Amino acid sequence: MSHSPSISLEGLNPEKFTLGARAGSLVGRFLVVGIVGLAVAAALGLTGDQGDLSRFLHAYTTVYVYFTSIALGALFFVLINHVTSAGWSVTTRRIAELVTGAFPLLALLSLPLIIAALMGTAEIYPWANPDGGLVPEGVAHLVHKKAGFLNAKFFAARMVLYFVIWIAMAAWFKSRSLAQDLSGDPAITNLFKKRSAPMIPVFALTLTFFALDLLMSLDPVWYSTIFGVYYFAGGFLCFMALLGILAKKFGAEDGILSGFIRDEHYHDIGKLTFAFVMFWGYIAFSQYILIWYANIPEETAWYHEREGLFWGHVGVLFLLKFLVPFVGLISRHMKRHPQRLVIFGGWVMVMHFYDMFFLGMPSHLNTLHYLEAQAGPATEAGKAWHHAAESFASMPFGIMELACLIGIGGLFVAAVAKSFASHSILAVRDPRLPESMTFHNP
Amino acid sequence: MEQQEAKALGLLAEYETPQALMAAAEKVRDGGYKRWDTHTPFPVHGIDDAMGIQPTILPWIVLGAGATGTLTALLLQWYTNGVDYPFLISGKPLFSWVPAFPVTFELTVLFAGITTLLGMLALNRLPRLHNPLFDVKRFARATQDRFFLALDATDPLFEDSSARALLEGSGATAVEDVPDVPTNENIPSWMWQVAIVLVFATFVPLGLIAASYNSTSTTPPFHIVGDMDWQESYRYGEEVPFFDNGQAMRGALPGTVAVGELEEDDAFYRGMDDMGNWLAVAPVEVSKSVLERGRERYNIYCLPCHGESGNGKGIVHERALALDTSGWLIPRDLTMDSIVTQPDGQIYDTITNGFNYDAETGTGNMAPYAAQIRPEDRWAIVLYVRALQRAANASIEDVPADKRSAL
Ligand code: HEC
Repeated sequence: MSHSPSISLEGLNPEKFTLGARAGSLVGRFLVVGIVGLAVAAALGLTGDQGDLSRFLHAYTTVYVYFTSIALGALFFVLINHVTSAGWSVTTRRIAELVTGAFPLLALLSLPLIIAALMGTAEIYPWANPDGGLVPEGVAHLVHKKAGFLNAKFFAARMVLYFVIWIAMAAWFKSRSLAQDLSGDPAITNLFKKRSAPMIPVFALTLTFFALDLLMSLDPVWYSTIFGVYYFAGGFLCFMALLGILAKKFGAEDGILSGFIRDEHYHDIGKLTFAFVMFWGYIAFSQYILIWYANIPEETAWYHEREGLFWGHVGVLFLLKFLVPFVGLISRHMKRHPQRLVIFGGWVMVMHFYDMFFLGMPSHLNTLHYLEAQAGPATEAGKAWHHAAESFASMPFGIMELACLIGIGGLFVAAVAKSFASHSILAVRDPRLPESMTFHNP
Repeated sequence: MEQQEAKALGLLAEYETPQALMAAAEKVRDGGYKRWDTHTPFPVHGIDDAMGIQPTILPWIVLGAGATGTLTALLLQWYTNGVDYPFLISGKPLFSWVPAFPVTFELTVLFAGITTLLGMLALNRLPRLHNPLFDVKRFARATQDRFFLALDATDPLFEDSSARALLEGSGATAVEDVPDVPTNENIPSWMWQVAIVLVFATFVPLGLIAASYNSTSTTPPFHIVGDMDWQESYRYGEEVPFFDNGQAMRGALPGTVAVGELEEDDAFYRGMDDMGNWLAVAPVEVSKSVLERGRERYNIYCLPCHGESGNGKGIVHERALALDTSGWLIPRDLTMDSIVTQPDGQIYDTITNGFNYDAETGTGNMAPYAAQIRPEDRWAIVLYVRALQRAANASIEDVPADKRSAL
């Protein structure tokens, strides 16, 4: 009815929707950029001044959980669209499937963190070396009590498990979906629907524990039961923002999916982005208000450490990541306008990075403070730690963070580009493709 | 409406498929008609565009209502908690954005939600008890398998023959007049009765609330959810394995000073002025109730030694003499000149720190009473001692003239 009549859905050729060299040429370049970035960061971290190892590991974690959250968001997008039998999303779903192609790379990138844990690097994981003095005195026994869960070997095993599950899930959906490009078999779609339902709880649990392991365990005493949801909400939000940007890129008039991605798709992507802006805001606030109200030292400390860095107040993150896109995306008009969707998408992606920074980096400052206290503030070593803490606090986003961002970001882009280069970015024979081409938002 | 012979209210066209209706709607739209509508058994996507329906202003109304909700909630909380009835709860600010947020959110959603419903009804002119289309028999299939387009005769462009031609040429399977059947548009009386009963029923809970508000009850309240009334919590000094000192009570952080614990007011707490001299006059207000309090405390704490009248011959003293305890130090006669001339601050200090008392060994002439008697009570005792001194050194002139004969 309202898609342009020139597009016939009969006999679409997957070759036609394969980006090939257009994405392939990015792979090599970003690979080099990424490797250089990581090499610089690692060199700074391993050979630099006092405190640089901690800073490297924290910056690495921050960037790493950022990109992993995007891939997880993409995987969830695939799962949720199958489980709800969504028709609207078909022309954009392959994009998500291809983004999940980054999981093997992310698995590889988890190695430095696993090694750090196995080596008992208390600078990042105080629990990996509970007697390393990086746990506040009165609560050290609690960390010992948690050792059954928070120990290096179990941590490593869990990390392996997460990635085995995620890689398997992502590969299964991707390979079947690609097979459907050739066969057009509707049974595959039915199977997707059936299998995705039990996969969602598995996804939820692995994501939650991943967030606990990599972010919450940085402070092994602090805990928040909503933490996994917080990480999930931000990650899915960030992926929806990215999807809006990619949809605009591919759906533009000269884009490869021109005509396949319509205003209706922008509208729906916008709605989900908006919904998850709200959801993230809701979760973030829920976590904050309980801690604010109870006002218990062992809980408030976590927020207190985060008040000082960067913009100085927890509320600023809330304003920037919640209120700005909330007001920006509330109207239907904004969601249906691809250019504006892209602007807010970019904003949300940057704010999600700030969020990960907010979760991860203050722990570095904490580490430095503990090390200073341990060495004795008056000693030479103590002064050096103090100096490291001051120089970090004065410029929390420095060369180290930038190098990590370029490093992991470069590799992530290379992996995703490789995935895009060799596969059709449209599920050409999905039985719901016609629906996706004709649906209307009321 | 003119009082002529029954004139049609408009035209109703019937279509067999949503596609046919959609095509017809586009024609009518392009014909420039304004007062017309389509009726379908299910939502037909894209019909809004085909009909040329402009975006509704409802979202703006809802936005306004939501903003009103936000503002109402914030003002309400700020006024009640911060201004009208300030009540400090565990050191939290009287008004803060953080706890105000949930209520604000709820009220925003409430206002916006109710406005969405009411606004939708109002913009659609609902509820409407009768629609002339119901008088067309075939229109009943609008809820089953037919698609209808109704053109209103009040449309400025409406002209019977041209409109009919347009509809007939639009693929309609039938075009029919909408008859002007006179109907009773009054609301049926049973509806009024139900409405009146409902209105009165709403006063019942209000009445019950008002009644209980003005009465007292000795029966305990019933607990719908009891977890506020019977909380699981630790008692002072109870053992708990969670903390490393094994106690449920958390000690104050080092350096914490509770409100009022600093006792920085030298005059009140130590009986001295800034220069370290005894205060001549007690820094408290003198009133009958303070003196009564002083008498009561004096009789409890001082009387056994210093005696009821302050003469130093209390019951402990008498007993000590009776036992012939050698070395018994006779309590001072508080009415003697050397104490009458002492400043108030010094007597206060004697109660607080004792007299000739050595805290290290715990020995001396008189022990301190700081641990037993609160500062304000110590001052009350000082005032009462002053009264005893006046009484002991009084002359007949001090007695009111009309009471002198009694002596
Ligand atoms: C256990 C008996 C005892 C009690 C109870 C007692 N006192 Fe004394 N008080 C003494 C003795 C003994 C002396 C000192 C006599 C001496 O040194 O010659 C004394 C002395 C004093 C003095 C004189 C200090 C001076 O500077 O000369 C004052 C004033 C006084 N007491 C007030 C009080 C007040 C007020 C109370 C009640 C809070 C009180 N006492 C309770 C036994 C007591």
